[in-house]
Amino acid sequence: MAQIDPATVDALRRGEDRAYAAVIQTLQGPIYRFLLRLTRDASAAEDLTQETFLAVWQGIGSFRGGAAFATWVFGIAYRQHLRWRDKRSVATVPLDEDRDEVQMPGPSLAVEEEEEQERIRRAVYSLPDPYREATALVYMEGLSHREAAEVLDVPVGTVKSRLHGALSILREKLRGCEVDGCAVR
Amino acid sequence: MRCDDLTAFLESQTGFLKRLALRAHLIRCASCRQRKAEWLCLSREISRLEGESVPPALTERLMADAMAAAADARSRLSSSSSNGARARKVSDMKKALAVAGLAAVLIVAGFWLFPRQSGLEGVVQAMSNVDTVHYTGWQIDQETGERRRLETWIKGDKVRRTLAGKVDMVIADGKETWIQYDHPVWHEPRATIRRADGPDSYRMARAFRSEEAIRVLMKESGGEVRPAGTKTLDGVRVTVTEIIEPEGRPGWGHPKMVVYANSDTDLIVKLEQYSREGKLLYVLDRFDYNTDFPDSVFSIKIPKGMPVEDHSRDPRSSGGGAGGG
Repeated sequence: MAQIDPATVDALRRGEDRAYAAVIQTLQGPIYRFLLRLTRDASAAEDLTQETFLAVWQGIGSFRGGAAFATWVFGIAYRQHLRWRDKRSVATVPLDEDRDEVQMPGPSLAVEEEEEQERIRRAVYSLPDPYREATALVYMEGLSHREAAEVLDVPVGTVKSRLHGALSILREKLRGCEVDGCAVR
Repeated sequence: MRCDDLTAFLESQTGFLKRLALRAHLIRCASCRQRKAEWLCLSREISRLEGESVPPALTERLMADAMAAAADARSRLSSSSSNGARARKVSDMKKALAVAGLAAVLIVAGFWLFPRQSGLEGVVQAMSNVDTVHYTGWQIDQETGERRRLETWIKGDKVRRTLAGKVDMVIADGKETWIQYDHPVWHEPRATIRRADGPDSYRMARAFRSEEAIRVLMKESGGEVRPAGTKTLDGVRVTVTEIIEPEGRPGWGHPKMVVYANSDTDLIVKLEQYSREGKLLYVLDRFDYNTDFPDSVFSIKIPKGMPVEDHSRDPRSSGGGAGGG
Protein backbone atom coordinates (compact mmCIF):
# COMPACT_ATOMS: atom_id res chain seq x y z
CA MET A 1 0.00 0.00 0.00
CA ALA A 2 1.12 3.53 -0.73
CA GLN A 3 2.45 5.11 2.45
CA ILE A 4 2.80 8.64 3.76
CA ASP A 5 5.72 9.13 6.13
CA PRO A 6 5.35 10.91 9.48
CA ALA A 7 7.47 13.84 8.31
CA THR A 8 4.97 14.52 5.55
CA VAL A 9 2.11 14.36 8.05
CA ASP A 10 3.91 16.94 10.20
CA ALA A 11 4.40 19.10 7.13
CA LEU A 12 0.67 18.83 6.44
CA ARG A 13 -0.04 20.27 9.85
CA ARG A 14 2.26 23.17 9.08
CA GLY A 15 0.40 23.81 5.86
CA GLU A 16 3.29 23.08 3.52
CA ASP A 17 2.15 22.96 -0.08
CA ARG A 18 4.57 20.19 -1.03
CA ALA A 19 3.13 17.89 1.63
CA TYR A 20 -0.41 18.40 0.42
CA ALA A 21 0.70 17.80 -3.15
CA ALA A 22 2.59 14.66 -2.10
CA VAL A 23 -0.46 13.22 -0.38
CA ILE A 24 -2.59 13.85 -3.45
CA GLN A 25 0.00 12.35 -5.77
CA THR A 26 0.41 9.27 -3.59
CA LEU A 27 -3.14 8.54 -2.55
CA GLN A 28 -5.45 9.94 -5.21
CA GLY A 29 -5.15 6.81 -7.34
CA PRO A 30 -5.73 4.24 -4.58
CA ILE A 31 -8.58 6.22 -3.06
CA TYR A 32 -10.28 6.91 -6.39
CA ARG A 33 -10.01 3.27 -7.43
CA PHE A 34 -11.24 2.06 -4.06
CA LEU A 35 -14.28 4.33 -4.30
CA LEU A 36 -14.83 3.39 -7.92
CA ARG A 37 -14.95 -0.26 -6.93
CA LEU A 38 -17.32 0.45 -4.10
CA THR A 39 -19.69 2.78 -5.93
CA ARG A 40 -19.33 1.30 -9.43
CA ASP A 41 -20.06 4.83 -10.60
CA ALA A 42 -17.19 6.89 -11.98
CA SER A 43 -18.86 10.24 -11.37
CA ALA A 44 -19.74 9.37 -7.78
CA ALA A 45 -16.25 8.04 -7.21
CA GLU A 46 -14.79 11.35 -8.35
CA ASP A 47 -17.04 13.36 -6.08
CA LEU A 48 -16.40 11.10 -3.12
CA THR A 49 -12.66 11.23 -3.71
CA GLN A 50 -12.85 15.01 -3.54
CA GLU A 51 -15.00 14.86 -0.43
CA THR A 52 -12.58 12.40 1.12
CA PHE A 53 -9.59 14.66 0.69
CA LEU A 54 -11.54 17.69 1.88
CA ALA A 55 -12.38 15.71 5.01
CA VAL A 56 -8.74 14.71 5.34
CA TRP A 57 -7.60 18.33 5.23
CA GLN A 58 -10.25 19.32 7.72
CA GLY A 59 -9.45 16.46 10.04
CA ILE A 60 -5.67 16.42 9.86
CA GLY A 61 -5.55 17.93 13.33
CA SER A 62 -7.37 14.93 14.72
CA PHE A 63 -5.05 12.34 13.17
CA ARG A 64 -3.10 10.88 16.08
CA GLY A 65 -0.94 8.40 14.24
CA GLY A 66 -2.52 5.33 15.81
CA ALA A 67 -2.91 3.87 12.35
CA ALA A 68 -0.94 4.48 9.19
CA PHE A 69 -1.95 7.74 7.55
CA ALA A 70 -3.03 5.98 4.38
CA THR A 71 -5.20 3.58 6.37
CA TRP A 72 -6.81 6.55 8.06
CA VAL A 73 -7.55 8.11 4.67
CA PHE A 74 -9.02 4.84 3.39
CA GLY A 75 -11.25 4.81 6.47
CA ILE A 76 -12.51 8.30 5.67
CA ALA A 77 -13.14 7.27 2.09
CA TYR A 78 -15.06 4.23 3.25
CA ARG A 79 -17.26 6.32 5.54
CA GLN A 80 -17.86 8.79 2.72
CA HIS A 81 -19.02 5.88 0.64
CA LEU A 82 -21.34 4.63 3.34
CA ARG A 83 -22.93 8.09 3.67
CA TRP A 84 -23.31 8.33 -0.09
CA ARG A 85 -24.88 4.90 -0.21
CA ASP A 86 -27.30 5.71 2.58
CA LYS A 87 -28.23 9.04 1.02
CA ARG A 88 -28.95 7.46 -2.30
CA SER A 89 -30.82 4.62 -0.67
CA VAL A 90 -28.87 2.19 -2.76
CA ALA A 91 -29.70 -1.23 -1.47
CA THR A 92 -26.70 -3.30 -0.57
CA VAL A 93 -26.48 -6.69 -2.15
CA PRO A 94 -27.12 -9.50 0.29
CA LEU A 95 -24.30 -11.96 0.68
CA ASP A 96 -26.17 -14.65 -1.18
CA GLU A 97 -26.79 -12.55 -4.26
CA ASP A 98 -24.58 -11.06 -6.86
CA ARG A 99 -24.68 -8.81 -9.88
CA ASP A 100 -23.51 -9.33 -13.38
CA GLU A 101 -22.81 -7.15 -16.35
CA VAL A 102 -21.48 -4.21 -14.39
CA GLN A 103 -19.82 -1.93 -16.92
CA MET A 104 -16.85 -0.08 -15.54
CA PRO A 105 -14.13 1.93 -17.20
CA GLY A 106 -10.90 0.00 -17.56
CA PRO A 107 -7.41 0.82 -18.76
CA SER A 108 -6.27 -0.02 -22.27
CA LEU A 109 -4.21 -3.18 -22.66
CA ALA A 110 -3.48 -5.67 -25.38
CA VAL A 111 -6.78 -7.14 -26.47
CA GLU A 112 -6.31 -10.63 -25.10
CA GLU A 113 -4.96 -9.51 -21.78
CA GLU A 114 -7.56 -6.81 -21.61
CA GLU A 115 -10.32 -9.35 -22.11
CA GLU A 116 -8.94 -11.53 -19.37
CA GLN A 117 -8.55 -8.62 -16.98
CA GLU A 118 -11.96 -7.33 -17.88
CA ARG A 119 -13.47 -10.71 -17.09
CA ILE A 120 -11.84 -10.76 -13.68
CA ARG A 121 -12.60 -7.11 -13.04
CA ARG A 122 -16.23 -7.63 -13.91
CA ALA A 123 -16.40 -10.61 -11.63
CA VAL A 124 -14.91 -8.58 -8.80
CA TYR A 125 -17.29 -5.70 -9.40
CA SER A 126 -20.20 -8.10 -9.26
CA LEU A 127 -19.27 -9.32 -5.78
CA PRO A 128 -21.63 -8.43 -2.94
CA ASP A 129 -20.60 -5.25 -1.14
CA PRO A 130 -18.80 -6.73 1.90
CA TYR A 131 -16.79 -9.11 -0.24
CA ARG A 132 -15.99 -6.42 -2.80
CA GLU A 133 -14.86 -4.00 -0.11
CA ALA A 134 -12.44 -6.50 1.41
CA THR A 135 -11.19 -7.61 -1.99
CA ALA A 136 -10.61 -4.04 -3.13
CA LEU A 137 -8.62 -3.18 -0.04
CA VAL A 138 -6.51 -6.30 0.36
CA TYR A 139 -5.97 -7.71 -3.08
CA MET A 140 -6.28 -4.57 -5.17
CA GLU A 141 -4.79 -1.87 -2.94
CA GLY A 142 -2.43 -4.05 -0.96
CA LEU A 143 -3.62 -3.37 2.57
CA SER A 144 -2.88 -6.00 5.19
CA HIS A 145 -5.78 -7.84 6.80
CA ARG A 146 -5.31 -5.75 9.93
CA GLU A 147 -5.33 -2.49 7.98
CA ALA A 148 -8.42 -3.53 6.04
CA ALA A 149 -10.11 -4.42 9.30
CA GLU A 150 -9.37 -0.92 10.62
CA VAL A 151 -10.76 0.70 7.48
CA LEU A 152 -13.93 -1.40 7.48
CA ASP A 153 -14.21 -1.30 11.28
CA VAL A 154 -14.61 -5.06 11.56
CA PRO A 155 -12.49 -7.78 13.20
CA VAL A 156 -9.55 -9.17 11.26
CA GLY A 157 -11.26 -12.55 11.14
CA THR A 158 -14.20 -10.98 9.37
CA VAL A 159 -11.93 -9.59 6.70
CA LYS A 160 -10.39 -13.02 6.20
CA SER A 161 -13.72 -14.74 5.96
CA ARG A 162 -14.97 -12.14 3.49
CA LEU A 163 -11.90 -12.65 1.35
CA HIS A 164 -12.43 -16.37 1.56
CA GLY A 165 -16.03 -15.91 0.53
CA ALA A 166 -15.04 -13.58 -2.28
CA LEU A 167 -12.58 -16.07 -3.70
CA SER A 168 -15.16 -18.84 -3.51
CA ILE A 169 -17.64 -16.74 -5.47
CA LEU A 170 -15.03 -15.66 -7.99
CA ARG A 171 -14.01 -19.25 -8.48
CA GLU A 172 -17.57 -20.12 -9.37
CA LYS A 173 -17.97 -17.11 -11.62
CA LEU A 174 -14.76 -17.80 -13.49
CA ARG A 175 -15.30 -21.55 -13.69
CA GLY A 176 -14.04 -22.86 -16.98
CA CYS A 177 -11.91 -19.80 -17.60
CA GLU A 178 -8.19 -19.90 -18.12
CA VAL A 179 -6.86 -17.24 -15.79
CA ASP A 180 -3.32 -16.53 -16.89
CA GLY A 181 -2.49 -20.18 -17.22
CA CYS A 182 -4.39 -21.26 -14.11
CA ALA A 183 -7.40 -23.24 -15.16
CA VAL A 184 -10.37 -22.64 -12.92
CA ARG A 185 -12.47 -25.77 -13.04
CA MET B 1 2.62 -18.20 -13.64
CA ARG B 2 3.29 -20.92 -11.11
CA CYS B 3 0.42 -21.73 -8.80
CA ASP B 4 1.90 -24.33 -6.52
CA ASP B 5 3.05 -21.98 -3.79
CA LEU B 6 0.26 -22.45 -1.31
CA THR B 7 2.26 -21.74 1.77
CA ALA B 8 2.07 -17.97 1.62
CA PHE B 9 -1.64 -18.16 0.93
CA LEU B 10 -2.22 -20.44 3.87
CA GLU B 11 -0.05 -18.37 6.15
CA SER B 12 -2.32 -15.45 5.53
CA GLN B 13 -5.53 -17.34 6.00
CA THR B 14 -5.40 -19.25 9.22
CA GLY B 15 -4.00 -19.53 12.71
CA PHE B 16 -1.07 -21.78 13.55
CA LEU B 17 -2.96 -24.89 14.58
CA LYS B 18 -5.44 -24.60 11.76
CA ARG B 19 -2.57 -24.09 9.39
CA LEU B 20 -0.92 -27.29 10.51
CA ALA B 21 -4.16 -29.18 10.20
CA LEU B 22 -4.83 -27.69 6.81
CA ARG B 23 -1.40 -28.61 5.56
CA ALA B 24 -1.89 -32.15 6.71
CA HIS B 25 -5.23 -32.27 4.98
CA LEU B 26 -3.87 -30.83 1.80
CA ILE B 27 -1.23 -33.51 1.61
CA ARG B 28 -4.01 -36.07 1.46
CA CYS B 29 -6.66 -34.21 -0.52
CA ALA B 30 -6.01 -33.43 -4.17
CA SER B 31 -9.35 -31.67 -4.55
CA CYS B 32 -8.58 -29.17 -1.83
CA ARG B 33 -5.12 -28.66 -3.22
CA GLN B 34 -6.68 -27.78 -6.50
CA ARG B 35 -9.16 -25.39 -4.92
CA LYS B 36 -6.49 -23.63 -2.92
CA ALA B 37 -4.34 -23.32 -5.99
CA GLU B 38 -7.19 -21.67 -7.80
CA TRP B 39 -7.76 -19.26 -4.93
CA LEU B 40 -4.12 -18.37 -4.92
CA CYS B 41 -4.21 -17.80 -8.65
CA LEU B 42 -7.27 -15.65 -8.34
CA SER B 43 -5.95 -13.51 -5.55
CA ARG B 44 -2.76 -12.94 -7.51
CA GLU B 45 -4.63 -12.12 -10.67
CA ILE B 46 -6.84 -9.66 -8.84
CA SER B 47 -3.73 -8.01 -7.42
CA ARG B 48 -2.36 -7.71 -10.93
CA LEU B 49 -5.39 -6.00 -12.37
CA GLU B 50 -4.27 -2.76 -13.89
CA GLY B 51 -5.74 0.13 -11.91
CA GLU B 52 -8.09 2.64 -13.44
CA SER B 53 -6.36 5.94 -13.98
CA VAL B 54 -7.47 9.08 -12.19
CA PRO B 55 -9.24 11.54 -14.52
CA PRO B 56 -6.99 14.60 -15.02
CA ALA B 57 -9.85 16.95 -14.13
CA LEU B 58 -10.18 15.22 -10.78
CA THR B 59 -6.49 15.67 -10.09
CA GLU B 60 -6.88 19.37 -10.84
CA ARG B 61 -9.79 19.65 -8.43
CA LEU B 62 -7.91 17.78 -5.73
CA MET B 63 -4.79 19.87 -6.13
CA ALA B 64 -6.79 23.09 -6.04
CA ASP B 65 -8.50 21.98 -2.84
CA ALA B 66 -5.18 20.86 -1.38
CA MET B 67 -3.47 24.17 -2.04
CA ALA B 68 -6.41 26.05 -0.57
CA ALA B 69 -6.35 23.83 2.50
CA ALA B 70 -2.59 24.25 2.89
CA ALA B 71 -2.93 28.00 2.77
CA ASP B 72 -5.74 27.81 5.28
CA ALA B 73 -3.65 25.67 7.62
CA ARG B 74 -0.87 28.23 7.48
CA SER B 75 -3.32 30.99 8.07
CA ARG B 76 -4.82 29.24 11.10
CA LEU B 77 -1.40 28.53 12.53
CA SER B 78 -0.49 32.16 12.22
CA SER B 79 -3.83 33.27 13.61
CA SER B 80 -3.76 30.89 16.58
CA SER B 81 -0.25 31.94 17.53
CA SER B 82 -1.30 35.57 17.80
CA ASN B 83 -4.57 34.99 19.59
CA GLY B 84 -5.90 31.72 20.83
CA ALA B 85 -9.13 32.94 22.28
CA ARG B 86 -12.22 30.92 21.68
CA ALA B 87 -14.06 32.32 18.75
CA ARG B 88 -17.65 33.22 18.54
CA LYS B 89 -20.00 31.32 16.36
CA VAL B 90 -20.38 32.81 12.93
CA SER B 91 -22.27 31.97 9.99
CA ASP B 92 -24.89 30.39 8.06
CA MET B 93 -24.88 29.68 4.39
CA LYS B 94 -26.13 33.10 3.51
CA LYS B 95 -23.17 34.70 5.18
CA ALA B 96 -20.93 32.39 3.26
CA LEU B 97 -22.55 33.47 0.07
CA ALA B 98 -22.34 37.06 1.14
CA VAL B 99 -18.59 37.04 1.53
CA ALA B 100 -18.09 35.12 -1.67
CA GLY B 101 -20.39 37.57 -3.39
CA LEU B 102 -18.68 40.50 -1.80
CA ALA B 103 -15.33 39.35 -3.07
CA ALA B 104 -16.94 38.88 -6.44
CA VAL B 105 -18.33 42.37 -6.60
CA LEU B 106 -15.06 43.84 -5.46
CA ILE B 107 -13.32 42.02 -8.23
CA VAL B 108 -15.90 42.78 -10.86
CA ALA B 109 -16.24 46.40 -9.93
CA GLY B 110 -12.48 46.78 -9.82
CA PHE B 111 -12.68 48.74 -6.58
CA TRP B 112 -13.85 51.72 -8.56
CA LEU B 113 -15.34 53.36 -5.52
CA PHE B 114 -12.21 53.26 -3.45
CA PRO B 115 -10.56 56.62 -3.04
CA ARG B 116 -7.48 57.34 -5.07
CA GLN B 117 -5.33 57.72 -2.01
CA SER B 118 -6.22 54.25 -0.84
CA GLY B 119 -3.19 52.51 -2.27
CA LEU B 120 -5.42 50.26 -4.33
CA GLU B 121 -5.02 52.18 -7.58
CA GLY B 122 -2.81 49.48 -9.11
CA VAL B 123 -5.24 46.77 -8.05
CA VAL B 124 -8.13 48.73 -9.56
CA GLN B 125 -6.29 48.99 -12.84
CA ALA B 126 -5.16 45.35 -12.93
CA MET B 127 -8.52 43.91 -11.94
CA SER B 128 -10.33 45.98 -14.53
CA ASN B 129 -8.29 44.24 -17.23
CA VAL B 130 -9.23 40.74 -16.11
CA ASP B 131 -11.65 38.78 -18.29
CA THR B 132 -12.35 35.81 -16.04
CA VAL B 133 -11.71 34.94 -12.41
CA HIS B 134 -12.05 31.65 -10.62
CA TYR B 135 -11.39 31.56 -6.91
CA THR B 136 -11.82 29.18 -4.04
CA GLY B 137 -11.63 29.50 -0.31
CA TRP B 138 -13.14 28.64 3.02
CA GLN B 139 -15.63 29.88 5.50
CA ILE B 140 -14.59 28.91 8.99
CA ASP B 141 -17.09 28.05 11.68
CA GLN B 142 -15.67 29.76 14.74
CA GLU B 143 -17.21 27.30 17.14
CA THR B 144 -16.43 24.00 15.53
CA GLY B 145 -13.52 24.96 13.34
CA GLU B 146 -15.31 23.28 10.46
CA ARG B 147 -14.57 24.78 7.10
CA ARG B 148 -17.10 25.27 4.38
CA ARG B 149 -15.84 25.53 0.87
CA LEU B 150 -16.49 28.60 -1.26
CA GLU B 151 -15.96 28.70 -4.98
CA THR B 152 -16.81 31.36 -7.52
CA TRP B 153 -16.45 31.79 -11.24
CA ILE B 154 -16.79 35.22 -12.83
CA LYS B 155 -16.88 36.03 -16.51
CA GLY B 156 -17.05 39.70 -17.28
CA ASP B 157 -19.51 41.44 -15.00
CA LYS B 158 -22.58 39.65 -16.26
CA VAL B 159 -22.01 36.02 -15.47
CA ARG B 160 -21.16 34.74 -12.06
CA ARG B 161 -21.54 31.53 -10.16
CA THR B 162 -20.94 30.96 -6.48
CA LEU B 163 -20.91 27.75 -4.51
CA ALA B 164 -20.87 28.02 -0.75
CA GLY B 165 -21.43 24.77 1.02
CA LYS B 166 -24.80 23.66 -0.21
CA VAL B 167 -25.79 26.99 -1.61
CA ASP B 168 -25.44 27.32 -5.34
CA MET B 169 -26.09 30.56 -7.17
CA VAL B 170 -25.79 31.69 -10.74
CA ILE B 171 -26.23 35.15 -12.15
CA ALA B 172 -26.40 35.16 -15.92
CA ASP B 173 -28.25 37.14 -18.55
CA GLY B 174 -29.61 39.48 -15.91
CA LYS B 175 -31.25 36.72 -13.91
CA GLU B 176 -30.19 34.99 -10.81
CA THR B 177 -30.95 31.46 -9.77
CA TRP B 178 -30.08 30.13 -6.40
CA ILE B 179 -30.62 27.01 -4.43
CA GLN B 180 -30.36 26.60 -0.72
CA TYR B 181 -31.35 23.26 0.77
CA ASP B 182 -35.09 22.80 0.36
CA HIS B 183 -35.95 26.32 -0.63
CA PRO B 184 -37.53 26.92 -4.01
CA VAL B 185 -35.33 27.94 -6.85
CA TRP B 186 -35.81 31.52 -7.84
CA HIS B 187 -35.46 33.02 -11.26
CA GLU B 188 -35.52 36.75 -10.89
CA PRO B 189 -34.53 39.61 -13.12
CA ARG B 190 -32.22 42.02 -11.41
CA ALA B 191 -34.82 44.78 -11.46
CA THR B 192 -37.04 42.84 -9.08
CA ILE B 193 -34.44 41.82 -6.58
CA ARG B 194 -36.01 44.01 -3.93
CA ARG B 195 -39.01 41.75 -3.96
CA ALA B 196 -37.02 38.86 -2.59
CA ASP B 197 -38.37 37.28 0.56
CA GLY B 198 -37.39 38.86 3.84
CA PRO B 199 -34.50 41.06 4.82
CA ASP B 200 -31.96 38.30 4.62
CA SER B 201 -32.92 37.41 1.10
CA TYR B 202 -32.85 41.03 0.13
CA ARG B 203 -29.48 41.45 1.70
CA MET B 204 -28.20 38.42 -0.12
CA ALA B 205 -29.69 39.45 -3.38
CA ARG B 206 -28.15 42.86 -3.38
CA ALA B 207 -24.80 41.34 -2.49
CA PHE B 208 -24.76 40.20 -6.05
CA ARG B 209 -25.36 43.61 -7.51
CA SER B 210 -21.96 45.15 -7.67
CA GLU B 211 -22.91 48.80 -7.58
CA GLU B 212 -25.18 48.37 -4.60
CA ALA B 213 -22.82 46.08 -2.75
CA ILE B 214 -20.01 48.55 -3.12
CA ARG B 215 -22.32 51.29 -1.95
CA VAL B 216 -23.23 49.28 1.11
CA LEU B 217 -19.64 48.47 1.85
CA MET B 218 -18.12 51.85 1.26
CA LYS B 219 -20.74 54.54 1.47
CA GLU B 220 -23.29 53.27 3.94
CA SER B 221 -20.66 51.79 6.19
CA GLY B 222 -18.07 54.47 5.59
CA GLY B 223 -15.37 51.90 5.01
CA GLU B 224 -11.77 52.94 5.42
CA VAL B 225 -8.85 51.67 3.37
CA ARG B 226 -5.47 51.28 5.08
CA PRO B 227 -2.23 50.27 3.33
CA ALA B 228 -0.54 47.59 5.44
CA GLY B 229 2.85 47.16 3.80
CA THR B 230 4.24 44.26 1.85
CA LYS B 231 5.07 40.68 2.67
CA THR B 232 5.96 37.39 1.01
CA LEU B 233 3.14 34.95 0.49
CA ASP B 234 4.03 31.51 -0.86
CA GLY B 235 7.18 32.98 -2.36
CA VAL B 236 5.34 35.86 -4.00
CA ARG B 237 5.79 39.46 -2.95
CA VAL B 238 2.39 40.92 -2.14
CA THR B 239 1.03 44.31 -1.18
CA VAL B 240 -1.33 44.15 1.78
CA THR B 241 -4.30 46.48 2.16
CA GLU B 242 -6.89 46.48 4.91
CA ILE B 243 -10.48 47.59 4.48
CA ILE B 244 -12.03 48.50 7.82
CA GLU B 245 -15.71 48.90 8.55
CA PRO B 246 -16.13 51.39 11.40
CA GLU B 247 -18.02 50.27 14.47
CA GLY B 248 -21.65 51.25 14.90
CA ARG B 249 -22.34 51.66 11.22
CA PRO B 250 -24.63 49.46 9.16
CA GLY B 251 -22.55 47.29 6.95
CA TRP B 252 -21.73 43.71 6.16
CA GLY B 253 -21.05 42.51 9.63
CA HIS B 254 -17.54 41.53 8.60
CA PRO B 255 -15.54 44.38 10.02
CA LYS B 256 -12.18 43.83 8.39
CA MET B 257 -11.13 42.61 4.99
CA VAL B 258 -7.48 42.15 4.05
CA VAL B 259 -6.55 42.22 0.38
CA TYR B 260 -3.27 40.71 -0.76
CA ALA B 261 -2.25 41.75 -4.27
CA ASN B 262 0.73 40.49 -6.23
CA SER B 263 3.27 43.32 -6.13
CA ASP B 264 4.29 42.69 -9.73
CA THR B 265 0.90 42.22 -11.36
CA ASP B 266 -1.37 43.98 -8.84
CA LEU B 267 -3.84 41.10 -9.17
CA ILE B 268 -5.50 39.90 -5.98
CA VAL B 269 -3.99 36.64 -4.76
CA LYS B 270 -5.77 36.40 -1.45
CA LEU B 271 -8.67 37.90 0.47
CA GLU B 272 -9.29 37.45 4.17
CA GLN B 273 -12.26 38.50 6.24
CA TYR B 274 -11.90 39.01 9.99
CA SER B 275 -14.27 39.63 12.83
CA ARG B 276 -13.86 42.72 14.94
CA GLU B 277 -12.11 40.51 17.48
CA GLY B 278 -9.58 39.53 14.87
CA LYS B 279 -10.86 36.01 14.17
CA LEU B 280 -10.48 34.74 10.64
CA LEU B 281 -13.95 34.20 9.23
CA TYR B 282 -13.29 33.61 5.56
CA VAL B 283 -10.32 33.17 3.34
CA LEU B 284 -10.27 33.17 -0.45
CA ASP B 285 -6.81 32.12 -1.36
CA ARG B 286 -6.66 30.58 -4.76
CA PHE B 287 -7.30 32.88 -7.67
CA ASP B 288 -6.99 31.95 -11.31
CA TYR B 289 -7.30 34.68 -13.90
CA ASN B 290 -8.12 34.74 -17.58
CA THR B 291 -8.78 31.03 -17.94
CA ASP B 292 -11.67 30.12 -20.19
CA PHE B 293 -14.60 28.39 -18.49
CA PRO B 294 -17.07 26.17 -20.29
CA ASP B 295 -20.57 27.66 -20.39
CA SER B 296 -21.75 24.67 -18.39
CA VAL B 297 -20.13 26.26 -15.33
CA PHE B 298 -22.82 28.89 -15.43
CA SER B 299 -25.81 26.60 -15.69
CA ILE B 300 -27.29 25.55 -12.41
CA LYS B 301 -28.45 22.01 -11.88
CA ILE B 302 -31.87 22.05 -10.33
CA PRO B 303 -32.53 19.01 -8.18
CA LYS B 304 -35.31 16.75 -9.33
CA GLY B 305 -38.69 17.58 -7.90
CA MET B 306 -37.68 21.02 -6.66
CA PRO B 307 -40.29 23.65 -7.55
CA VAL B 308 -39.12 26.50 -9.72
CA GLU B 309 -40.75 29.89 -9.23
CA ASP B 310 -40.25 32.26 -12.09
CA HIS B 311 -40.85 35.81 -10.92
CA SER B 312 -39.64 37.48 -14.08
CA ARG B 313 -43.19 38.40 -15.17
CA ASP B 314 -44.74 38.81 -11.75
CA PRO B 315 -46.41 42.25 -11.73
CA ARG B 316 -45.81 42.52 -7.98
CA SER B 317 -42.12 42.28 -8.68
CA SER B 318 -41.86 44.93 -11.35
CA GLY B 319 -40.88 48.53 -10.89
CA GLY B 320 -38.54 50.05 -8.38
CA GLY B 321 -35.07 48.89 -9.29
CA ALA B 322 -32.78 47.64 -6.62
CA GLY B 323 -30.30 50.37 -7.17
CA GLY B 324 -32.21 52.95 -5.23
CA GLY B 325 -31.18 51.74 -1.80
